[in-house]
Amino acid sequence: MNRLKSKALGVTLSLTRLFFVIGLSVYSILTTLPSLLSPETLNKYWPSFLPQAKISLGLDLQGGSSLLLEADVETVIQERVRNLKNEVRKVLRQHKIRYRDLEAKEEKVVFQLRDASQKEKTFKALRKLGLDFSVQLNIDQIEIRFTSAALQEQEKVVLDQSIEVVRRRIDEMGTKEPLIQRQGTNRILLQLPGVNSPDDAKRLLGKTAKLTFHAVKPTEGLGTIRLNQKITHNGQTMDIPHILDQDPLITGDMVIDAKPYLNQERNEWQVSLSMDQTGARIYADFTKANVGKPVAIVLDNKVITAPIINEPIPTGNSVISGQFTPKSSHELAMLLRAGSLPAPLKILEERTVGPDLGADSIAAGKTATLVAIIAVFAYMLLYYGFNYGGVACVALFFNLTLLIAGLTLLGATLTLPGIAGIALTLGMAVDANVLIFERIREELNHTKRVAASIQSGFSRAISTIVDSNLTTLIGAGLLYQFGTGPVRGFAVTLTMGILISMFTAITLTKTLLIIVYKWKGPQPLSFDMKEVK
Amino acid sequence: MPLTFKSDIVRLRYLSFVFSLLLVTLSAAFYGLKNFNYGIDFKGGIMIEVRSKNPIPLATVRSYLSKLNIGDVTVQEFGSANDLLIKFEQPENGLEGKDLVVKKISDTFKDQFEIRRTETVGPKQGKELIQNGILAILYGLLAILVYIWFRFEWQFGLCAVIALLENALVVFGYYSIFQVEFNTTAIVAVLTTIGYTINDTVVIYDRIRENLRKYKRKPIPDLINLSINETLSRTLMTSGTTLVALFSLYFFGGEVIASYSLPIIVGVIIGTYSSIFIAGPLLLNFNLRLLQKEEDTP
Repeated sequence: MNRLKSKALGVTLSLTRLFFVIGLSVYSILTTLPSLLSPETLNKYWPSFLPQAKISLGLDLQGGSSLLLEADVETVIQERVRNLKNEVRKVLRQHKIRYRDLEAKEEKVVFQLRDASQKEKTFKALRKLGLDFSVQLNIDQIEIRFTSAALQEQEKVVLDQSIEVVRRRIDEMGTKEPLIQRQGTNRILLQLPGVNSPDDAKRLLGKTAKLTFHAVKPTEGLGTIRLNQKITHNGQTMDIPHILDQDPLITGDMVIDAKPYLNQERNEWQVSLSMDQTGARIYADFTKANVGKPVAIVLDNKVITAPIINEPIPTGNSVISGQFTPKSSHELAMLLRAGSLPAPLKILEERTVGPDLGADSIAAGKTATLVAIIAVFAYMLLYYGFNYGGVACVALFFNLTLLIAGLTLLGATLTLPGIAGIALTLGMAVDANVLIFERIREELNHTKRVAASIQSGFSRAISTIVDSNLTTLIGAGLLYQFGTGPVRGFAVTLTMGILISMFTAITLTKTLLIIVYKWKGPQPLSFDMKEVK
Repeated sequence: MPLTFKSDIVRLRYLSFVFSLLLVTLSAAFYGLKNFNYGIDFKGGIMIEVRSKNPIPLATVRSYLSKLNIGDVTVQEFGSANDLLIKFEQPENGLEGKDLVVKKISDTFKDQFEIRRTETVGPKQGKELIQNGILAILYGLLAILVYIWFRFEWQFGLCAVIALLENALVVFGYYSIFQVEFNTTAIVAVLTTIGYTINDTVVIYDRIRENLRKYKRKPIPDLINLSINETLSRTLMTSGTTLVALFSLYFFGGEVIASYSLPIIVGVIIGTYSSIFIAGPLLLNFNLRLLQKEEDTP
């Protein structure tokens, strides 16, 4: 105590500290203002060397649509397993291994050996399939499956590709600043600011746009599939059942460009395609060998057209016709340019907020925050008096500016619950000050020496502040971890609010207390204490 | 005007324990009887917020909607008579059905309504949201238990978690008793409340720990009582400012923010009560002197 007394804190306000606090406060105000001012005022009066960034608003505040999409990874895996079955069959035949009951079962391919003595040989042969597969003997059945690492890799690839395709398709729509984000292992969060009706986006994303060209065979045979649609050609329905070759000639990934195109002669909208070198070569060879026969163009498992080949096509250019409207031909061309989705996308969640509601919410949020801050100011001034209450109010004010500045600098998104988080932390932010003041009051009751009381009350309160706030941070962290969308916005502002209130309590409040002490001399903390030294 | 109370909170403990038990039982009973009024976040479904130029009687809207044949529809006023919230469960053909229904509604009320907001949640997504919400609360309690155990002693951690659990259950009870729509907001409310209450509790425990070192011979009940009383003015002061802020949110923040703040208001009130009347007095059931002795031996 003696040490504290002699080192009366009136003299210990270092200039570095003062400048740091002032500098930070000014900076936080300058960073906060752009978000509060209207764009016009900002353009006219705000100097360009000052911070320009505005706080980014969530969809619930600026209006727009948010879609949560799920990629059907399962289907892709199953397709891969079916391909694996074909590979296995090839390998077994190559090595003259006799088998029966070869089947693709969900995530694995199984078969039985006719001759148990070929076991070793089989394992050795199957190992050549690659490292992505594990081969196991289960009783007398051999199981080949993707390793879990390979499955995860597949999932990741499918989602990466999906995100890429979604991005290209959405870009084509001309949406400003869409947000496309991976969520978990098989989900994509798509946010479209300013889009009030996500119908266009949904229609575009609802199509896998898997384009394939197939040879059409007259008879059914091995390796053929029968598509249920009848082939239409030049508007006429051909009623002979057609069998499409299962293996496509040309796939969508060989298409390098697609354009909508108005065929003047027939006065109908079409889509013209150009293929890459591989595609062009395959198509040239095929058309040369099959003049007079149809080729089926299949989009998402539907035959959309099956023109008869009139002459060999060496250039790799082709035309799709199929009763298109101008809009649908544009859309198909766009989808083909953007590439096909590796897996169908399902919409799990859709939220749309109109711009008016967003603006209303911001206005209401601003009012509420303003009322909250004024009410808390009044409360603190009334309870702690002008000196200490004033300190709390200044600290609280900078708490708010630091919070908004922090959110702006981090690029965090402010949501409606985020505004609730701000107002709530304003209420809680004074807690650090309250803890400090209450401690000082207790110390004053013992010593009546203000300088010493401030010093010791302050340092005693700090450990309590840290302990009590860290536990609240745990809660906020969990909200962030498990919450989605708006809940996360709430968690972010709450976390930042707590951190900043701890920070201001330690730096700002202390500096202010010293300033008040130097300026006005020792002050009592409550009205019933008149005598202090 | 400092708040100086000298209340014998510890002596009241049986009363407060019984009161809490009653609250929890009441909450559980209502949950058993009425369950929650799940919102579309959790149940899956469709919600449309519309604004009309002139107030339209709910009954008119309801009878119009029932003619559309889109299943069970709830229509309620949302803040003012001009704002309506129309909710219905997932139509059978899933999310695609929503567009149809929205179209039907906007066709029917073409000139009267402006659609301000639509939300559609699939049933699968809803289940996951519930699961994650409950997980978040459980992990929250566990993390707090571990943290306090680490910073104080396990007895403190346990008592804090019991008080928090009571707190959380009563807030859940509030949802069930008043059939307030239970959605992600509820999880936010409960977690915020837990975060707030633990803050209060730790301040009190911090003082108890300090006093255990300071007054070696004071009987434990007196010591706990003293600690609670010493921190009481801070506890009430902070609850006061928080409630002031929350009430301004409730009255001025618009309908959506109001739905966030009301449960938190309830939570903060319950939380302040349980940190004072439950968390502290519960410690009496453990022999804190033993801890003190352990600390004394280096």
